[in-house]
Amino acid sequence: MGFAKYQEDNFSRYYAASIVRGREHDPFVGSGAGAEETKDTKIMQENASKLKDFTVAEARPLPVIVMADVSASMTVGGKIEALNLALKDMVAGFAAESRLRAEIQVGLITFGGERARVHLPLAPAHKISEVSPLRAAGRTPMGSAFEEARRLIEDKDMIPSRAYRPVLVLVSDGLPNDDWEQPLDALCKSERGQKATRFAMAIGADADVEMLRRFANDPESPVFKAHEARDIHRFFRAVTMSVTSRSRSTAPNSNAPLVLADIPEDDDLDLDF
Amino acid sequence: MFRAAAATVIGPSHEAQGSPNQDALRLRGSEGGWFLAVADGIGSRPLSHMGSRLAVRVADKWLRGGLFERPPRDAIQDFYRAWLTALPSNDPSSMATTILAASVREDGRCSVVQLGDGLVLYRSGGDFGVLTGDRAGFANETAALGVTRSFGAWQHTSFVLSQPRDGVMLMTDGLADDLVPERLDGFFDRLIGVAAKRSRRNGKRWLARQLRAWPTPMHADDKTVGLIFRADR
Repeated sequence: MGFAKYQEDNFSRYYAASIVRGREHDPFVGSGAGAEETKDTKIMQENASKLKDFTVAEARPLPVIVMADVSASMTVGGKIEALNLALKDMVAGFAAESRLRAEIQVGLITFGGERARVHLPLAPAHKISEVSPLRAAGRTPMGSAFEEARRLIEDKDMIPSRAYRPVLVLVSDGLPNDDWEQPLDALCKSERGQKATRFAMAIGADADVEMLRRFANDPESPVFKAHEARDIHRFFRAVTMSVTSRSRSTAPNSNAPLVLADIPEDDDLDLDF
Repeated sequence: MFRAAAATVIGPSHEAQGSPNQDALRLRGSEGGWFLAVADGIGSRPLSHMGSRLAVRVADKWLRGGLFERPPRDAIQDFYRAWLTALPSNDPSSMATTILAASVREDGRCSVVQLGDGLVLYRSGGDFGVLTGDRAGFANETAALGVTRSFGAWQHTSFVLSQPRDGVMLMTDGLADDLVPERLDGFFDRLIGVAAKRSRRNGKRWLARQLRAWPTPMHADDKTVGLIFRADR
């Protein structure tokens, strides 16, 4: 008996019988007569599709909510430009993730002028095509941003209970000039706000570091102090790393501390533009 | 006459890690009744798979009859103490686990308890019900044996399975969190409808296939579901 005949014999022996085999191990699938689907595979597909009617079609979200200071002082020293670039890179970094365990979502609340506003509603990072540039002007209504963040985090339609613990990121270069203490307490003590991981960055010497310390709750990630625009980028790169490592982890609810990598002075590539 | 089916499968995340299934399942019939327990070992605890296996075994001994013979608080306390005694370690939190248990008597009386996340669905006298309340926090945050001492954290109910296809269904959060809340009754009826047409072994096989081919994208958790129902005749 030649080899071909031997293979045929194996084929007829196994495939005429009602032996259940995984298709991924099936050498005959994909070509010739063996490509026909087995009865069991058909049953499995039919059954799986039936339960789709009862299950949520979206993956568990891992929300990241950024509260960004866009008061007038952010125009100084290229801070707002650095923040725009860092946010763009962060969203792109999240979007590029393989989404193995969780779907990273991003929302952006800005505070500058009279009150905070939602600049980017919470949405899956891979569906965000563009983050429109932030423009800095006016006062620092941080209390209003805390209220906006608390509203969002407590909204079970926006962030369902099946979501992994959200990440709140606060970035500011100045002192809040609205009533911020009560809204900060309300956010940090709210049922869901207290469970969120809260990171904070103080930009420059005028930032209210004590207040930011009250906001941050990850003991392994104290308030990060940015001395120059490039530090903003470092901070957001660390946030990106922390969140993406959680989304890849087998336990996405666990904390991942911020690890701030050094960016050398001559980090830019030698490009002609 | 009552019938039952149940299955547990390891989640893709633990499979990739080479970790054991942290869910546990026990389904036993006797004297025309059934006992069903499912437990979900808390993922962050190193020996939670042992805690969940012990929980369903000890529940069988203490809650099968205990839920009918004693007030719920006493039955639960006896069970909890027996679980603590059975643990091989003196650190219960390292073996923390949820527990959901249902005991059905031949006359149709059914008693159910739940500690921690997961979901209990039931149909009694044709009316559909959900025992489990809304989750307060986020995914994977739960009360558990070995962590929670309060009796108030337990949920308990009793009802009668009087009509054909009345039944009770227990599941761990690997399924529960991915179900559309408005369609829980449809999910309940679909699974009982399929199980009613199959033998217990075929029902188990069918359930296991559904859990392995779970449709929600990026699902990672271990999954366990069990059901007891009144047969059509």
